[in-house]
Amino acid sequence: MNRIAAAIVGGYLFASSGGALLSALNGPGSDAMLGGALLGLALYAPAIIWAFATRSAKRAWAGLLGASFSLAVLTAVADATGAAA
Amino acid sequence: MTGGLRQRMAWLHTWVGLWVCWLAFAIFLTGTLSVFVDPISDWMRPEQVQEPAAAPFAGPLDHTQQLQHGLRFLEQHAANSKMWELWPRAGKDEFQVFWLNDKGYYADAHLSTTTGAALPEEVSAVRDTLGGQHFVEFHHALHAGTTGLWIVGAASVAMLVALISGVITHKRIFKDFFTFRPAKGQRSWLDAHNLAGVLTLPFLFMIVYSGLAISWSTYMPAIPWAQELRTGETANVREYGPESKPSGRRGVLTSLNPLVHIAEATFHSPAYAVVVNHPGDAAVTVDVYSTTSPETQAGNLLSKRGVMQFDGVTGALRETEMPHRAPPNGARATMATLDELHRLHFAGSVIRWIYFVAGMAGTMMMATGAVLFMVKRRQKSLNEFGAGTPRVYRIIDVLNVATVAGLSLACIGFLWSNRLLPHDLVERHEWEVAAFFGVWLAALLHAALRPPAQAWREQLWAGAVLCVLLPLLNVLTTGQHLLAYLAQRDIERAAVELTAIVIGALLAAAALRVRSPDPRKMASATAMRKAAS
Repeated sequence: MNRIAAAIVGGYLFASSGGALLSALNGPGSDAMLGGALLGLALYAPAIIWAFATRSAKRAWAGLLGASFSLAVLTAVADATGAAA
Repeated sequence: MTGGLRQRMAWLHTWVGLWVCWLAFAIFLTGTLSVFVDPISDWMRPEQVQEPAAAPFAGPLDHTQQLQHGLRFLEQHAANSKMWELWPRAGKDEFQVFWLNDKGYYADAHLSTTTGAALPEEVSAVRDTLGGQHFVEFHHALHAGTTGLWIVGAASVAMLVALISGVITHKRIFKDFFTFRPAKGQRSWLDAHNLAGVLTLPFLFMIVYSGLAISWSTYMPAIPWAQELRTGETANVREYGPESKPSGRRGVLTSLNPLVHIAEATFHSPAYAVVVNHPGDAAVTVDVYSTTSPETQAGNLLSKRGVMQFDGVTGALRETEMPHRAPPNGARATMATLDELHRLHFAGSVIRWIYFVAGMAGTMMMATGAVLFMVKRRQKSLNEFGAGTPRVYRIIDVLNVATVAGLSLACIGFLWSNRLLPHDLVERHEWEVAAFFGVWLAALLHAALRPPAQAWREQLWAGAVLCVLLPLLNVLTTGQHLLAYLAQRDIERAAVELTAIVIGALLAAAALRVRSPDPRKMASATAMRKAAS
């Protein structure tokens, strides 16, 4: 049960933050959002697979939340440093 | 859940596959029918006369009168709108104009070409029906708006997970490609499931992923949110209207006729729509869109219209996008391609038939997977649900019948309701959808009340009879028939009836193969074999 939650919630956060990072790197505008969305939607299913392939539910949570958090931080850094521009 | 990667993936495949298979089957079956949305719509509107094919484009047309009338109407009725649209149609008695109202929604009017006056809504002689669009709507959002869209999205991700875990579980993709052992019970079901899955694997990944991509702004709200945080402005995802901003100063619109003339000469096709952004403002722009047709489409993947943008005051050309050309931005071009691959605006009949067959194979993969789950457990219960196991198995059996046989019955029942419901019923199209869900619900109740083998047999027979008798129903209710369609070269309507007959024959063949009940062995095991193989 715990692992299923990790896969669904953690996987979704990971996919969203991955997509948000790519769209931040691509700069403003709707085209940048499209690229991010395409990546994010492609990441979700593999993230779920990984959550079930890894050794324990704890690892699944840690891995997905950790990766999501890192991606969110990178997105903020990209924004702050103006990497998009 | 223990063991190595392959066991874990097998576990994941079984359980994700089981819980999503009924929904996935429904989405896939209706999606496969949606491939032929236009022929089905034509068949469901028997009163509609087929429009003759448009004459080849000989040169720019004269739209003077319609453009003048249209602009006068919009100035009177939508002076403060931020966007007007005129759809000139040379040689027609009437044409349409659209505008964005105060709430940001489209409003429209039909105008007379000769007088420019708004025409009253005509009472149509054509029956009120959603036509094939019903299948598209159900496939896309289950007739349940945003909630339905989310459910379909969740099912799509679950389908991707089931596909990936299925591939990892599955050691011998290439070998199984050539393996089918019929009439061997559980083994045959597994073979059919593998064969359908492996054969269509690339198609399945493409169709599910592109389906998600089309509705990305619903599924990935984090991306526009992140943009909004960054720019402090609402991200423009699906708002209608101009992307540019008004200047706030008054401006006088130049004559539209010359602009339309230039665009038609450039695109070699009649103008489809003339869009005026920020009418009355000095920053007004005019977009002229091209009409696309099978001739302009030939050899092109993208069905995109061409558009020329002009400065609305000076009439100077600002930008030209030729029809069917990929957008310069990579992400946008990718999205446009995925959209085409999913929605098939580009496709002629050959591609559509390939999609239909691949879609049916995918649908059968889900049906065989669902049946396989129960075939395996009817031989030996695995007791996954403790004391409740027999009851859960019973529920799974009922849902299998109600989905695979019951939804097929509901789909053909929908076509029957189109011919049987009274012509002038209020909100008639909703009654047809109600008939679809009504038949489906009846199938669920029937499946719950009858032993599995009987339920399979009776519902498959009912579906077969309705399919095969569809042309007869048509003759009795409208007087139109298959031979006349063929004689008039109305291939699309004829193909709907011929396909129904073929599907009816397959359902009958499946019904014949349902074995008599044997409590310890597979009862419904052979139900769908014919269709699956």
